[in-house]
Amino acid sequence: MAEGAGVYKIVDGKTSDTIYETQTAPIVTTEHEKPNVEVELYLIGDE
Amino acid sequence: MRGHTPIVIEEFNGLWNRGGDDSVPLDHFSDCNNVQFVQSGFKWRDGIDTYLPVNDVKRVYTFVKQTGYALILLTGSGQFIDSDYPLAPFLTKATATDFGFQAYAGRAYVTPCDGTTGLQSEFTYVYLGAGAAARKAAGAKPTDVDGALAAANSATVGHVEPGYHIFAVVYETNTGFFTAIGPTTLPALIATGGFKVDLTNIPVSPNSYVVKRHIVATKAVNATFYTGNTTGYQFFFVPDGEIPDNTTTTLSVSFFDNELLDDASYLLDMYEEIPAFAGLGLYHNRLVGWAEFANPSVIRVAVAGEPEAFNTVDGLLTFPLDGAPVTNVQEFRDVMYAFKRTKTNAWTDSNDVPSSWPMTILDQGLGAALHSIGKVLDSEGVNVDCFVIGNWSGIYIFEGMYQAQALTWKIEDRWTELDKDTFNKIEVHVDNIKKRIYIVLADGTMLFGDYSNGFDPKNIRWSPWTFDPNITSVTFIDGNTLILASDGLRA
Repeated sequence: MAEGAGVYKIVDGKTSDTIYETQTAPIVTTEHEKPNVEVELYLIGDE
Repeated sequence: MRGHTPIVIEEFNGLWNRGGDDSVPLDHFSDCNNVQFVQSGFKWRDGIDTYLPVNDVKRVYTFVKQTGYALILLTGSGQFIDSDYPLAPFLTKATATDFGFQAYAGRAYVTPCDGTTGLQSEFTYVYLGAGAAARKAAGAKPTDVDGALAAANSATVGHVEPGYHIFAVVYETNTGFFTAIGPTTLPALIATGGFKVDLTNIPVSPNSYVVKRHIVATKAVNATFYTGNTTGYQFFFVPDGEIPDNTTTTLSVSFFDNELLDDASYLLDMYEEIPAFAGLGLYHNRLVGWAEFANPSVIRVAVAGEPEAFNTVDGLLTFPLDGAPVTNVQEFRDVMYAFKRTKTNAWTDSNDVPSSWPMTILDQGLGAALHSIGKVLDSEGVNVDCFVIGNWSGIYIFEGMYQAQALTWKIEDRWTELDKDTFNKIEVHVDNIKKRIYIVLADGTMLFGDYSNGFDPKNIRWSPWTFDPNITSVTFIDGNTLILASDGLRA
């Protein structure tokens, strides 16, 4: 069987993919080049 | 940053991919991945777990059975698999790269296609859901080889009225399908009146799926006006003319003409083998198939309540020709909407044959793709009195007409960059419980939309989702548990 092939299900609250542990880490970027603006990000929920 | 007042962002409203980075509002992300949203913030998306070890899955549907549900899967080698019986396919079509599916009365109708039209010289199949091999839907009518039906006046007193009566036989299959009328040579008997009619050599089908047979007959035809055309008269089901097996070859029937009420003439022109379509759907309890290989603009509509009964003469509609195939059909508020890539038309059931239904041209700029009408949980696409459609212009809410602004307005640059030639691989699914839209893209990634703050272009929150597995198709089970199918690791 080809690696990665198969049927998966999303599991509520699961913080990683079973086989691929690093894949669910979120990537978030904010780019605001307007001067005099400071952005404070508050991450709510899981880190 | 001395002297500057910090700005606290109270809301995070997802990806903004429209214009340059300078135009990204403060409460949106210029880039993000694998994010899902909580009330005023975000977190990483839920993880995935293995559900079923099936190799190389190209398409998956949820098959709602009489009790419970299963997954119907198509693999890269053309095997159709029921997840309740994963060890052996119920159908194999090596050239199938995609398929249409419709559950009906606990049965699965599957039609192999290439993502554009039904496969050439292929057919629509019916799978009974118990692991046994699928067979071609519909069925062969009685032939002279099955039995040279003969009719004779009986010596027993009965009610058959004097004049010509033509007799014929209809097979009934194990899916309730009534075949076309046969055999080829039909006996025409001059009844003397006042007696029964003895039928002999009643055809016996060579197909094991035939479980019953029915006698049909015409009312008395005055001998003076009888034309000799045995199929030129109206046939009716004969009362007590049901033979509950596929072995008995004789039967005596007795009926007054005014007992012949159940018209069987519609069976004269039924398909014995239904061509393969690009997709299957339902409208007014009729099975609908569209975009067969030879007629990509034709939509075929079955008899109501008889999903395998497609009339070859009047059971069809034609979408105005433009060189492109019909891509989808969806029922909504009693109207049947049909789509091409950039067109939308509507038909309404006039209680007459489908070929007579009036058509309304609805939109000449927006259409739908093969899998891009949002399925709601495990059903077809209507929810909250609207449904969601993906097309070249974006994801739209459709309420009988398209809303002016796409739900993907905030990520329009990303959407319009998608390869238009691969839109037939895009799937749209709606989880109305969690207020989410899941979109499978042709590159094996997904787009995730959260509309818990509002089902409109302003308040929906978007994020791309990526997985190491290449996601080809998704569906729901257990209400709103998302199932993802993969054909391997993503490149």
